[in-house]
Amino acid sequence: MKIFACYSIKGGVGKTAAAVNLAWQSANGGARTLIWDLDPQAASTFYFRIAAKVKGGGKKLVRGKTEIDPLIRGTDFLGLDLLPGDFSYRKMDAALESTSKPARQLARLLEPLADEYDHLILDCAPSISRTSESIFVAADALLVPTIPTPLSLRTLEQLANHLRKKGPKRLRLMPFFSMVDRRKSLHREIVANADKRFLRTAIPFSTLVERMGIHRAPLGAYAPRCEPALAYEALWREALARF
Amino acid sequence: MAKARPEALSRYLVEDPAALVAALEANLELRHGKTTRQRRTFLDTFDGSLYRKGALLAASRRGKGWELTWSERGRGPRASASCERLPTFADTLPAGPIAAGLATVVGIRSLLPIAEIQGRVRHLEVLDKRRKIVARLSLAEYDPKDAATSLLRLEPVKGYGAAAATLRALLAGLEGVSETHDGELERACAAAGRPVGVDPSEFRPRFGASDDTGEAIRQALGRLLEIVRIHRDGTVRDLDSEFLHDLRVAVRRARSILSLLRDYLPKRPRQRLAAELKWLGGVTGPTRDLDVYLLKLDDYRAPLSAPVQGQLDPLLELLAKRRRQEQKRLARALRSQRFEALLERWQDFCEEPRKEPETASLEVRETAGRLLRKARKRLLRKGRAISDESPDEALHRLRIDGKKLRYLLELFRSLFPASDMKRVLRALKGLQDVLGDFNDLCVHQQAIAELAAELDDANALMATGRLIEHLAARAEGERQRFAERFADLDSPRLDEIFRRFEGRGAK
Repeated sequence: MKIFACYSIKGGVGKTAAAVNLAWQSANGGARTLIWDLDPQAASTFYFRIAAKVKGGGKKLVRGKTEIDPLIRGTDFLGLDLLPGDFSYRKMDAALESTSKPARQLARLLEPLADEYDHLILDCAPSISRTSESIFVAADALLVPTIPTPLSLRTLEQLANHLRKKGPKRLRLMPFFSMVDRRKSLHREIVANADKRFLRTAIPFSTLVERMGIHRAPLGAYAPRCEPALAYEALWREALARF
Repeated sequence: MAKARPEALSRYLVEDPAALVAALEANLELRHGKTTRQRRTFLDTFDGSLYRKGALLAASRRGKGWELTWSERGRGPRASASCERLPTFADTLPAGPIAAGLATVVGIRSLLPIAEIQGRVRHLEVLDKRRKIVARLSLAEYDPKDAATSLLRLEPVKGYGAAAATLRALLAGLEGVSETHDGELERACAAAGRPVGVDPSEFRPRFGASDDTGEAIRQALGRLLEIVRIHRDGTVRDLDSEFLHDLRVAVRRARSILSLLRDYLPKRPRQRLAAELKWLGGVTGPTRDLDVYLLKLDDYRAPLSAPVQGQLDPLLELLAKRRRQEQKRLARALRSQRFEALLERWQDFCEEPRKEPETASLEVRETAGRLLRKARKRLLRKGRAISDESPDEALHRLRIDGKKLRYLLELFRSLFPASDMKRVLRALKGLQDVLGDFNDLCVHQQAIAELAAELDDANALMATGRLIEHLAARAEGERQRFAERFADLDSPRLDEIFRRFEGRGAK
């Protein structure tokens, strides 16, 4: 099982849209896929029309007191399951802190899923915290949506520095440009000058992506041939090819 | 009704589809999906290994290619993949969950279309208040319509067990709807009159203890003839290497029965049939030998360095070429008049005999006990005489004796307690594995050396030299393991079991 974390220190960068659409791409490619909505706002859970509730609460789940499998819900798409978000995830740091090895805890929780799924996609809450440390240890790749602005690049650099010093060696950092507006020269310039860490596919800014909240479904389900849907498809292929 | 697991599929026979849909609409939030014409081809190996492992592989046309779905029997689909052509072997599919699942189950066997269904399928989705799918229904009317009944499939969605339970309760209360355990594959196979999930090469004759020996032998030979007949087509068409292998095992078993039980059979017909089976063993041999080289060569060359491995490619090509030639010869033999005549002769032999010896009327249980004791005694005598100085030839002969004992045990299996049989067969298998590997390694050294002489390639010659050295070292290793395995067979515990086989000693 390969674990991809959709992660960003900043919020509002298209993280959930990426997690939902990449998970859909993965399942559509024939891989058994699970998406875990780790964000207390539970936006990806909402997109899949699933109740944002974890029986017993996030704390028990994180501490390994609840069995994961019964919490998993099948989405409307073949081969794609979801572990729902829950408002109690806002206290995840404290819950992790109460375990013996907080940094290893998420990886430990996910071990039993390895036979069930080929790909696991974590939709993470924005911030850098105890939870993110645990995610860095569990994940194989960090997919970081980045809006092409100087401030976003600076945040990415902070993350890269942090990982260089304290991150696990095996973790692959895969930033990509998100919400790219080609009418803006700044966006065009930054995308054109991106270094080679970046995945080459950029996700364009599109109201079609915003409309996911109305359709409550991944792009592939209602506009599979639109530009952003094709971009997610290419992005996913590229991310897989980095292994 | 047993309580179904939440994610298990349920199937129902439906008398009036329109009435069913109306009843569902009255009680549930239902979304009508597409109605599709469906034509599904089910794939499995000849010996039904997917079915027996609880897996189901179905293919439907998708554009110019095929859409494959992989499911666990009685569950919903687990994965899908598209391909241009129907896969024949596990490795002809692009990497993915289906290819990985197939590789562990089917091994070297080829996938064959085993049944086909076609019809019209209506897809329905049961929604909750968020308009999320909580269960899927499909209502299929297959051609030819049998008894005006349609098949309804209820496929629960993971995590929505409660919704599936509600739906099941609703269906249980509807008239003209009854649960069934058979799915499309079972129905299609039943319609085609072929058993599903049965290993066609299984040889497990059942005798009563007081059956006549002659009658029991004829019954066993009849089954072996059936196995040969079933495997002929696949062998001629060269679908995979196991067809020939299973055919040859059946022939060898038959030859071994004719020889070991000769005192209980009419002399002249036995000799004539045995002579023809010897011919059949001979004409099928070369192709099988080449199959074994080809199957084993990857394993053999794996420990060698990468460049040396590459230099062995000409050898592989030569083997493959030889195999193609031999396969042609083999196919000709299996389509020949002589083969037809052999089958007829074999059939005659299994039917009522004319001049049976008096021994044929002895009870089979008694015959079995006597023959088993004799065969083991012989094996032990020869095995005990083997030392580190014995020539390789002695081990090869011992392997043949082991095989004879094994065939006898498997022939008479039904007459003795299963636990005893299991123990003896396990011990014998341990020994035969060592002897078999040893024999293969010796024979293959010889064969590869002979083939290498024909290679006009210095590098390849050098590489075969390396390979032969490596095989010789491995053969030596197998020889070292012999004594240990032989001791398992030469034990007081097995003495006791064989005494019981003969009807002596404590029960």
